Amino acid sequence: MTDPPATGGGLSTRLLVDLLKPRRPGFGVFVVTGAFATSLLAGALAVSLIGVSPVRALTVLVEGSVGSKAALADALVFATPRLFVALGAIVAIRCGVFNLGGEGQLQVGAIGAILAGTAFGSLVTPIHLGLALAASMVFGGVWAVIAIALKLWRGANEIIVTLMMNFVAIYLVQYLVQGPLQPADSIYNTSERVADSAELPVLVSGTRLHLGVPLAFAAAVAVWFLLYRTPLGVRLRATGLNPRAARLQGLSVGRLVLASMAISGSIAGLAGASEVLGVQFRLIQGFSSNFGFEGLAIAFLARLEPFSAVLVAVYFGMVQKGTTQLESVLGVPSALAFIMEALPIIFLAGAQGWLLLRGRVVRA
Amino acid sequence: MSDGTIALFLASAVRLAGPILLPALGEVVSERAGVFNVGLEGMMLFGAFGAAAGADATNSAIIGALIGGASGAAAGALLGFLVARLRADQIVAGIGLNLLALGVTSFLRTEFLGGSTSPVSAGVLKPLALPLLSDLPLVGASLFNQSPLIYVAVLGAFVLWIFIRSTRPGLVLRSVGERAVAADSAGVNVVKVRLLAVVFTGFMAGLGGAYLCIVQTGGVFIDNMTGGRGYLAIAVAIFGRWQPLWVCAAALLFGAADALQYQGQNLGLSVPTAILLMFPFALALLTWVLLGRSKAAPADLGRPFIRGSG
Repeated sequence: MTDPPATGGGLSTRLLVDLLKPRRPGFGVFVVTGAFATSLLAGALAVSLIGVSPVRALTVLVEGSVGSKAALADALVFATPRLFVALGAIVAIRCGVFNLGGEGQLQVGAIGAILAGTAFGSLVTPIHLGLALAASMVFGGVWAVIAIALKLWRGANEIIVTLMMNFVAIYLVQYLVQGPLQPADSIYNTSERVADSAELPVLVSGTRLHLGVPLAFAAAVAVWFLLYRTPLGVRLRATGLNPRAARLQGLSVGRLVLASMAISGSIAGLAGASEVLGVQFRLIQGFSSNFGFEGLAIAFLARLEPFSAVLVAVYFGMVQKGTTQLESVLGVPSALAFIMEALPIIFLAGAQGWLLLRGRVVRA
Repeated sequence: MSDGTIALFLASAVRLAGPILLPALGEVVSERAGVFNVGLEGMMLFGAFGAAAGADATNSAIIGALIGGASGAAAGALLGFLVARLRADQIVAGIGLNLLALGVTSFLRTEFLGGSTSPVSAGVLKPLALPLLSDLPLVGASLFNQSPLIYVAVLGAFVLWIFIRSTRPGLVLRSVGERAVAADSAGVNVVKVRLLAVVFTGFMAGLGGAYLCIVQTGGVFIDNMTGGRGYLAIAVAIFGRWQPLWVCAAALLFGAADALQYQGQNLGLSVPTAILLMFPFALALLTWVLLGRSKAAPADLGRPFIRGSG
């Protein structure tokens, strides 16, 4: 298998992985506080623009997201699919592959989960649920592998290919729920409900906290273990930092890239499963409100570290939950969440570039 | 299949090529300067919103379109500052911009254009029939009775073609994309060239977004209305091998693919809508399989410029 071509994307990735691992320890603190402050400032500015007191808004946001047991559970449930996508993105990007296809992989993963979740009448829960989760991983993984195969085989730019495949997957879901998966007697564009035995069980009664939440946390540990405690992880990271050097060391770069994408896609697939088996219980068109790109944003803000990703994902979950509360209490449009998520990334990108320019970050 | 059906399909293809061609031409310019601009989608969204708000405020669709272009250019200035001046990672900054655009436009739409999806009062940019040409049989009415923005786009492609190929600033642009360090030592202000290139890209993407809003949807702004057209335009810029005239042809092809969702039934296709909506994106994948990688890519594409990093 040949090397992936080092086109724009590849090069940028290498630089990014470098940039995210600077030698100055103070940088991490600076980025985290800076990004967090940017996010809150952006939110404050946006709400004051429409005549709402920022202090009042912040109170509602915090109370709405961590003020009660149910609210906190919701925030964690919101964080879950985003965390899965972020973890998937981390595995791919650490190996030097810009997988922007998390959205597509989670859509296809959801299809897998629904197929397995509705196919069998009644099985024992652990088996049925396990099958549905496994199906989502296989579907998401295969979807990601198709993208990377196009890169390895035809030299396609993975950024474009994964982006295009996102939309193919979104419309595939739309097609399925408007036709093949729509129950004969239904007028709604949804699939059949998954069997009870395939649902992610609720863990704390009176809340929506389902098993997917601890699963996502466990996935973060697994990704950390993979990257830092296994030979495969060392090889993946080496490839991401410098594909040429990795190849000279005798690593099969093409195969590693393929493996990282397969893992990446299957974790993203779990994002789809957690949403359809834990929240919606049906396949619905548009069930993912941009989880794919929010997941990427989390991966970047976490500087590609799995445990940091957990923290950032929980923050994003709180913002999502808190802004829905802001909308119903103070009439602030909930799109505020995207603003509060986007500006920290812009801050981070600028800060990293600026440090690169100033030579503070040593390039490999 | 009757002549009328073909003419209708052709007209639809050209009309839908517009919002792909305008941003794709912009993308050609920033990629020629070495900036891989993933933020195109967000720039279009800013443009669409700017056009809706502008047309609403001024009661003129033309001024609306210009305000749309200006909104895109402002987004371009932000991204340009990040990637050219600060040397931010182009992909990370682009993704950030897209998310920001989604947030800001949806936020402002709810707040200022109202929750409803009523068209802005200025309405739409009316088609402009070119004299004589529009009287041609079969193609006349479909090709030469289009929105003025289509003519701007096609004219723009020719102007860009000459600009990139045969002018001194065009040469400077290419030199920055091919080898920024060499251009720098030859006295070119790399940061300025890249910044201007991305601002121009933003303007074109903004016009593309404006087109969506005030030509295609009849003046209605819908949250996230670009629906991936910005990403499609990036693919089109690459398929067109960064050559404006080829980009024009590629955009027409994707416009035709997009047109199937409206004209499919007339053409006798009984394919579900979702599959037709998917078609342009699937076509882009297929095109990769058929064409493979291009060696014509600007050598410094995607790389931040650091003096002395030759």
